[in-house]
Amino acid sequence: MNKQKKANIICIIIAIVIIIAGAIFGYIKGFNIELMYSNRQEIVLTHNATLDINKVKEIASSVLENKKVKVQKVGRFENSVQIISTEISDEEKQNIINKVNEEFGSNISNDDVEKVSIANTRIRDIIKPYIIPGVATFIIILLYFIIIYNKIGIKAIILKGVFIPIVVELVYFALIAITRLPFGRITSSIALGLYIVSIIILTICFQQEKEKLLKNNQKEND
Amino acid sequence: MKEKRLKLVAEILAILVVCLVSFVGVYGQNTNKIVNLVKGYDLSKDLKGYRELVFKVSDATEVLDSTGKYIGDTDIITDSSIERASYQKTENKVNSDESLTLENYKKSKTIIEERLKSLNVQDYNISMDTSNGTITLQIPEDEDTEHTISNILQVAKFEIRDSEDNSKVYITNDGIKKLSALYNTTNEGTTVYLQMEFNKDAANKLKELSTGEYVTKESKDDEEDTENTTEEDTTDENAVEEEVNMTSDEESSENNSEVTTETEDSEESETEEEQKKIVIAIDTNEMITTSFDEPINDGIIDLSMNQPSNEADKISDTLRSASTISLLVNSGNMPLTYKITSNNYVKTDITQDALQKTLIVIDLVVVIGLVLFIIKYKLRGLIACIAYIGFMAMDLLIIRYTNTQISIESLVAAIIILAINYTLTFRVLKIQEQDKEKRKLLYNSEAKSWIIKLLPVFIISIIFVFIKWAKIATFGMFMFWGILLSVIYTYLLTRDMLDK
Repeated sequence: MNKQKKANIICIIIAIVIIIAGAIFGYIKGFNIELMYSNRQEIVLTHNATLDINKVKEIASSVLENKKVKVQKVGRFENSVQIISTEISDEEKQNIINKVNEEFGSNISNDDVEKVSIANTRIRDIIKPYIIPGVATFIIILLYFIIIYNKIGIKAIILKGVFIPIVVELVYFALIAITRLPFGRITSSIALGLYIVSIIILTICFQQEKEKLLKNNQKEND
Repeated sequence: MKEKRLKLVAEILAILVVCLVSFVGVYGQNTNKIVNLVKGYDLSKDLKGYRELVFKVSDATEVLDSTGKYIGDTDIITDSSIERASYQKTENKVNSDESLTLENYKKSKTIIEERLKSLNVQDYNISMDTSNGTITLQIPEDEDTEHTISNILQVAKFEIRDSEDNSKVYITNDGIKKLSALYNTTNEGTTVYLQMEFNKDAANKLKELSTGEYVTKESKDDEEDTENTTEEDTTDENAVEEEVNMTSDEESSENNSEVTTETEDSEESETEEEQKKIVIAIDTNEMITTSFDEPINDGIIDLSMNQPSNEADKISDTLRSASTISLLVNSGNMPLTYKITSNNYVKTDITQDALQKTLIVIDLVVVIGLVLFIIKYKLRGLIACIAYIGFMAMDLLIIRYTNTQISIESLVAAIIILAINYTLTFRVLKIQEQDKEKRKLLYNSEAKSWIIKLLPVFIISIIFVFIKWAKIATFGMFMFWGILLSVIYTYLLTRDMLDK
C-alpha cells in the first residue's frame, strides 16, 4: 500500500468519525441556532432623540444576563432600537425600560412597549432554497464528468463525484454541531462555498488522472 | 526593450487608474454636493436591513351594511366608521373557531410563500408559531415592499355569484384553472384584460349560465322540490354596473370594442331577462355585475380592466394590478384572515464595523500571499502583485456596474475568486521561470487546462444566476464575472506584464 492510499484511508476514517460524532451531538443537543432563526422575543424602544445602540446593548446585556441578546436599529431614524433575546420576562422588560429612561432621559412607558414572540425558523426552511439548485447542478456536473473523463472509468467518477462533495458537506455540518458554532446566515453561505471548492478539487483530480492516463498510453504506444 | 518597458509602465499606470476609480472613486459636483460618481454597491437584505412583519390570525368580527351585506371586518372598519355609516357589527368571527387548525395555519404559510415568489420577492425568511398560527416574515426593503405587504395577506376569495342573491355562488376558487393578465392593442389604444380560464366543471356551469340553461335547470329543480321561490326585486346598490367587455376568448379577438351596457335594445333586454345577471367578486370587491351577450363555450372570460388607452403609465399600472389579481387568485384563497400586528424596518445587525473587520482579515491574507510572491520572485513578484490588485479593482467595478448584489454568499464567492486568481497568477509566474521558447507552448496548454478545470464551476455559476433566490443568484453572479474576468485578465494582462 503506497503512502497516498494510506493517507486517503486515514482521511476517510477521520471524516467518518467526525460525521458520526456530529450526528450524535446533533441528535442529543441539536444545532446551536443563531438568535435570528430561533424562538425569540422582541421589544422595540422608541425615543424622541437618538438612542446610542452600544449603550442600549450594554443595558440589555446586563439585564438579560446569560441569554443571547441582539440589539438592532429600527426605522429610518436613529431613535428606535429593537432588543431581541431568547426570552424577555415582564420584569426584565421593565428593568430595561427603566435603565434606558435613566440613561437617555427618555420617558418610555412600559405599557407602550409591546413584547412580540417570534417562532423559530426551521432548519429545513433555511436549507430548502439551496437543495434544488444544489442537486440540479450536482447531477449536471456529474454527467459532465462522465462525458469528459470517461476514460478514467465511470465507476470511479461516480464514486468520487458523489462521495467527495457529500462527505465535505457532512463533515462541515458535523463540525458545526460538535463545536456548537451558531447555525445561521453564514452557515449556508460557507456550505455553498465548500460545494464549489469540492467541485474544483474534483475537476483538478480528474484532469490530472486523465493527463496521467494519456501520458501512460503515449509511453506504451512509443 | 525600451518599448517593452514603456508598455509595462503604461499598463501599471492603467491599473493605478482603475484602482483609484474602484477603491477611492471619482468625485464630482452633483446638485451642490460633491459626490462619488462611481456606482455604489447594492447590498442585500442581510447586509442592509429588512422589513420585519408579524401576522396574527384575526379575531375580528364581520361588519354588515344596512342591507345586511358583508362589507368587511372590525380590523379594517373602525368603530367611528361603523357608527357614521350606520353599519352593524356582528358576533360572527371572520375566522371561525373550527377553522383555527394547524392544517389551515400551514396552508396559509404556504400560500404566503407562493405569493412572495410570484411577487418576485427573492430573499425572505418566514417562520410560523404552530400553536397560534402567528407568522413572522422578513423581506428586503425596496420600492416594491409596500405593494408586497398590501397583497400577500389578501384572502383572494373568488366568486361568480347571482347579482340578486349573494348566497347563490356559481363558481369559486376551485373552479379556476388559471388567471392571467393580457393586453391587446388596437387603433383606439391598449386594453388590459384579466383572462379567467375555468376548469371543466366550472366551464360547463359558465356555458349553462351564459346560454340560460342554468336558469331553466334551476327552475325545474325548484318545481320538483315544490318550493315557492320569490325573486327579490331589490338590486344591489353598491354593485357597480361597469362598462366592460366580457366575451368568450374567440370573440374577443374578433371584436374587442364590443361593450355590454345596461342600455341595450329591447330585444336584447328580453334575452337578458332569461339570463342570469352575475357578479364577479374577489373578497369584498365586486369587480363587475353583468350578463352574457354571447354564450361562453370555451370556459374563458376576458374581462377588460380599462378603456383603450395610449398612456404608457396608465397601461402599466392597470397591467400591474391585473397581474397582482391573477397571482393572488392563482395562489389560492387563504383559509384564514390575518392581520398585521407589527411592521418594522430593521437595520442589519451586521454592522459596518463587523464588515470592515472581515474585509481587513481578507486583505491581510491577500497581503501575506502577495508578500510571498515578492519574496520568491522579486521584481516579477512585485509586478504580479500590481496585476493582482488591478484584478481586484476591476472585479469590484464589474460587480457594481452589472448590478450584482453583495450578500454574505457573494462574499464567500469573492474569496473563492481571489483564490482562483491567485493560483492563476502563481502559474504564470511559474511559467516565467522557463525558457522563452517553451513559454508560449506552456501558456497555451496552461490556459486550456485551467479553462477545463474551471468549466464545471462556470456552468454551476450560470445555473445559479437563473435561480430565483437572491442568495444563490448573487453567489452565481459573483462567480460568473469572477471566473470570466480572472481567466481573461490573467492570460492577457498579467501574462503580458510578466513577459517583459
